[in-house]
Amino acid sequence: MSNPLLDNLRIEPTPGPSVLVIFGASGDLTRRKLLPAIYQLSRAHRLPAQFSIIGVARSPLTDEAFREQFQESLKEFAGLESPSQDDVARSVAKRIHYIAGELDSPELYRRLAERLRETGADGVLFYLAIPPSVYASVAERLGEAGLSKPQPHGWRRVIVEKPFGVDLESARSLNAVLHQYFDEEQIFRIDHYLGKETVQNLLVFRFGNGMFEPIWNRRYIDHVQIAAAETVGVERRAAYYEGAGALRDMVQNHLMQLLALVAMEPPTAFTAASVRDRKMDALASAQPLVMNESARADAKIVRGQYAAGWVTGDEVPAYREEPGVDPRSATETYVSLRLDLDSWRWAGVPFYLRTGKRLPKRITEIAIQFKRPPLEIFRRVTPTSVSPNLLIVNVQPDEGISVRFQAKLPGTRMQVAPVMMNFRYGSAFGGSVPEAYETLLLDALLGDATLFARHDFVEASWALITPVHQWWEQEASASVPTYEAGHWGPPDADALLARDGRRWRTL
Amino acid sequence: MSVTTDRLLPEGVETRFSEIEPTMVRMAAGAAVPGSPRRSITAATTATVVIVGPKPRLIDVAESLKSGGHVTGVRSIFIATGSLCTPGVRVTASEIALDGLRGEFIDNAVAALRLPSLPTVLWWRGGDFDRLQALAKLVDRVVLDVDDPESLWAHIDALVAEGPVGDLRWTALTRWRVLMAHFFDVPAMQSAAPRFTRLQIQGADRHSARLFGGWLMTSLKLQNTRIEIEDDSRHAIARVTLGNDAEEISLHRLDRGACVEGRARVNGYEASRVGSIGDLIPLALMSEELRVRAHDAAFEAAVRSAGSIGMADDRATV
Repeated sequence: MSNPLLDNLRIEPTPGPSVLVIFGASGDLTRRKLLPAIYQLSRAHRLPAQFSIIGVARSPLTDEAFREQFQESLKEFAGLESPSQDDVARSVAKRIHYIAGELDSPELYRRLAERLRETGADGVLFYLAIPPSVYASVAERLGEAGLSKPQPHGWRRVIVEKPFGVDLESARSLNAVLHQYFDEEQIFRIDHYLGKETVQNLLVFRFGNGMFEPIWNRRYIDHVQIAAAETVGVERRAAYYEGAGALRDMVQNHLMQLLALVAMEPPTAFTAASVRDRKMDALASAQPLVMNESARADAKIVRGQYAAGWVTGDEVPAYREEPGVDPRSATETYVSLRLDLDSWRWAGVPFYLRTGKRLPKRITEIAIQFKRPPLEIFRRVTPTSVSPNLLIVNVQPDEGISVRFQAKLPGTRMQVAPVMMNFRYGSAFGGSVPEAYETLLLDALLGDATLFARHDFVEASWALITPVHQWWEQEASASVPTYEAGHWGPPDADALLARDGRRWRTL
Repeated sequence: MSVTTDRLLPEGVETRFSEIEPTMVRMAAGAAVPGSPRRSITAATTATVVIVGPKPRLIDVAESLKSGGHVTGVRSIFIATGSLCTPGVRVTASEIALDGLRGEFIDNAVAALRLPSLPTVLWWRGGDFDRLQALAKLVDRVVLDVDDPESLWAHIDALVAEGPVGDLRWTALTRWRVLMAHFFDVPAMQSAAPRFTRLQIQGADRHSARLFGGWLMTSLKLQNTRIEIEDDSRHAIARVTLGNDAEEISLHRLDRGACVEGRARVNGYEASRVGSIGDLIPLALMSEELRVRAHDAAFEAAVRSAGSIGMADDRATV
């Protein structure tokens, strides 16, 4: 029965009656991202009238204490001065409940089931904002308690935060456990990069315009650079980061997703299945990264670890001097690599990826560099060679798209200079851009998995990088090159591109 | 602090009509200079917004546009209607003001000044219907924003025949409509609609109340429902109650004014929720309108239906 009041109503779809169950309710992610996202969605009328939140964690909190935590979170991370005076915040708070217990205790799930029955909601979204080490046991307990199976008129979904495993084997076994209790359609593996406006816009840019796709191939594109640079160090995440490093933390998920969006073939429809199929095809075409002694000289991957230096106006310590970090740590805080795709579209077009901590600038972008014109007819009149065309997708912090092309300098002489044409979300459209977690949380409530990672994609990306990790583990920690904090990575990173007659873009 | 002025774009420069484009280019170059008093123009533009009306009704919009934020990426053309063939012209990097232009030349001016290949939206803040209709032929969308829309709403069919039409009153009702609509996601609520015999709307703006009433009447196909509109000076719309003796859906503006609360108690189903009322200043509403391109059939039907909802007394009934 369609809702007659929705005709021409300028709102995006809203989910039906539902409950969000957050495992790890007292944790950092919940406070920083999830609770503010729920508030913003509610404020914008994007949540159903029958909506409630059940926080689950070990901390012995009451409903009231968890509601206070919600208010605190809005104050700190949603910029609300006085959440207790905010009508939306008060309304959401009334729908917040809390269940304390051990995550592996069947008793906890019995109480959860009881609470879910009381809400009478059709849909239940479980959010695993918990350490990856307990994903499997929570999924098992949910399954054993009968909470993973959709009800006749309802649905059950689960959001799993990254990292999805630590290597190919663990990713496969995590997927196997999840699949034991949830169908793939019920599983939403979140990668917050995919919730960013520009990343979604990449699909529109490529497949909503007729002029770019014809040149989006080896015939016109020289190479692609994808960069995710951070100025921050390891901060308070040493315990996690020591075991992860930049390759697991950034490349396996965020950068692989960006690469797939750039490299994918056009989907036949804007549906989760079609988009994810094409992304998977793109990733599957990546050549393996060969790691052995004979390949060392022309290795396609470079790692580094930040030494002490100066970033954003402050002196900062070396990674090994950070609290919680092993003084002999071999964990990489920087990675750059070259990936080659075996496909008709991309044969011979390298994709260079780089990411690192304590780099000079916080920026994430995709830069597509086009080939130079076949004939440089202005060589005689311009002293420097003509800059190749560049298309830059700015993912953060200033979301937008820029195009670089050549223009004649004004004057009687024929002189050529590059100019940049910029489109910025912040200035071209009024209003604010939603936070990635708002977009993704809502999509999961609506059952739209387009912007979530599928199991085969996760496993394929682990299959690419796991041999690299295995090789690095065999090498001595002393062999990790360092770079001064505030610089753009170790010298080997420049050599990686110099070997191909190219260089990193100046960011 | 805003400065009261009787001039449109006092911070702009005076020029001749034929010099508008080159002057704007020079202003844009100046705006790129650090310390320039104007906000810098954006590199990407999305639309032309033509704002037409009596001068006093344009000055406040021009003043608030300075703050940016809501409506960006557009070329704004202010046309204060008058009797001049050669109006006063002032420009900034992204705005044009024509002061006192004779009505019959407005469409010529718009044709010359709008950005090519991008939508043109007419923000109508008052004037003759004939002028409006002539302009409607030229633009991609008309957005009405007048104190008394009665005479314009009476011609809604003629207007929509030229292209999509909206009304900022309607835009301001969006959150109310969303909140009401959410309750009707539940099938039990939809089947209860024919039982509703009473619709009460309290608010300071009768036209908004009639529009909202018209929308509910047409969308829910209410036939035996008595509509009462009562004055309430606090907000354009303060409270809406739909129901019968035993069942009720009520929406009301909360005391602090920024939110609206909805409660439903229908056939054993009970629910409540609170949402933001949104930003109701004209620029914010216009920014929402700029996202709309197509005909809004619900608005058109609501306007037609609003015509049958009484206007005369404090307590208007149907």
